[in-house]
Amino acid sequence: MDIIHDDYQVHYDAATATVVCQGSFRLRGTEEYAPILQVLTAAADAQPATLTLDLRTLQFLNSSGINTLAKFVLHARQYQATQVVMKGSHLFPWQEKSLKNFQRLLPGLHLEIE
Amino acid sequence: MPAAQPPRGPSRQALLAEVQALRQRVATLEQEKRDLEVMLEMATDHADDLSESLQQERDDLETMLEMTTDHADALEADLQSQAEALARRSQFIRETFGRYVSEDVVAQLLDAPEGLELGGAKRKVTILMSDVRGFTALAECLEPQEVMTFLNRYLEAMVDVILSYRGTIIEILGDGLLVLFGAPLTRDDDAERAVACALAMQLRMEDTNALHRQAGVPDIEMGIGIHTGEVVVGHIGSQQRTKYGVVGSAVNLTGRIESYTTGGQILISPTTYAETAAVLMVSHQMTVTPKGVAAPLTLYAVSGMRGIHALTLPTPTETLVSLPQALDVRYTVLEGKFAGSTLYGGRVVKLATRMAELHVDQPVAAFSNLKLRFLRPTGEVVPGELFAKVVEILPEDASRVMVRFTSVPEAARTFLDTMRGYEYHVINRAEQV
Repeated sequence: MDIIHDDYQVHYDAATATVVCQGSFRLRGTEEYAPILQVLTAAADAQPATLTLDLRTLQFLNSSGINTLAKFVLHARQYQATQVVMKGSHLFPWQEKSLKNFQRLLPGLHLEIE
Repeated sequence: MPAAQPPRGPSRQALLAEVQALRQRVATLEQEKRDLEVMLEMATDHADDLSESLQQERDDLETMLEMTTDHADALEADLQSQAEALARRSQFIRETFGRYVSEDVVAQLLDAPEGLELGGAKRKVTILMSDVRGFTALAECLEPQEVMTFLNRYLEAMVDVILSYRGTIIEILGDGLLVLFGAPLTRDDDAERAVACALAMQLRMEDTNALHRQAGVPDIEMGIGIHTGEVVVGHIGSQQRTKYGVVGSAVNLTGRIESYTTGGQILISPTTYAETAAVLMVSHQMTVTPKGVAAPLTLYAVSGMRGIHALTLPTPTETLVSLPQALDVRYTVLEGKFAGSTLYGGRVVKLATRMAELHVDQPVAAFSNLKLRFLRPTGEVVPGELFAKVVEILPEDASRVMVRFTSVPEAARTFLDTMRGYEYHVINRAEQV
């Protein structure tokens, strides 16, 4: 399940239970983010032991985007057996500031910023 | 004896039955009460659950709102720092290039910063170097204030021309200019614009001289050398002081080419010639062997250009006249900027305003620069030192050379005009006869 767009890509690798988000997410509102949320929730519904969301190459995320990721985290929270891992990068200052906030929704969320 | 009375009220049996029924009723009510209590408890528990889940949702929504706001703040901060970085960069580009390139080049640099390699980049450019002939000598006979006025007027005119041809002024060293075409921005017609710019500079020099003549300042002349080659351009310097600069052997070679020019001349290298030949007008070519260059180099003297930069230099109207009596000179050969110590003798046999045929006692190399003084027929030295370049060694006799004056002080000019005037006079008289 991949989403390929000129400005952004979402790759879901079921084998490693990893979703990689790349490029710039500048979509407008819930409606435009629905396909991305669908990929994310489907990955969570598979209930892997560890679910990785790799954002290291996500340069930009707008506010509707952070909302979408929050919805995903809330969805994943219901599967207590799944450990959610979020990977970020120091290259993009917004990631340092915003990603740690996801732990407020899911205290068990494991955050790796490199 | 009174008759027996019928028993009053319900019978004992009926009463017992009623009591039984009442007990039953109480038991049912108690059960109902217990059920209701359980139901109430269940409803309360359920309400608690609902309330708890609503609270959780409310908390989540609050968290999401805070996260979104935090995220928006983070993005705003990023944007702000990006805007500040961009503003600093713009300021830097303006400060670095603003004085030396035209406004539209600055605008282009700001629009396309990726085209700008500040770290240093190897690239092909066309280099233009110009130098004013005899400025040093002129500076000696002018008041300091006049020198500055003169220099600034000259530079203002030249900078104006250079910027209009999209040249990048790298260096202004006194009266000399080092200009690049092709950095920081490369264009297809860099070589062509460089040559056109040189022609325009020479033509503007004429206008500047016209202004100077009104002020009583003698004419000055400029030589321009042009070469196309690979150089490294970028920021050169220390943390404290840095400038956009250029290094490479192509720069040195341009300097050498420039040193072969005489006043009013534009000499270009074969690489520049190759890129401009289609539109070029060449008056002549010469072969030189610059110091540090292995093979002889052909240089082309440009007289004009066709096409969109159509410009033509005025044809020099120099007439050499034979002098009835050779004029003795004493000269030294310049080595770089310094005069050699050996004094040689020679005779000028033909004279024009800027050219002379000189017979030398010791052979001189082509393109040597001479510092010379004239002697009057009486033997006394004419005041004022002249500078001249050997432009040609006459084929029939190596001791006969053509020189072009690069600087003639006022006193010497009067002397030479008199000599030439005398000659005209003689010719005129001969014609009358």
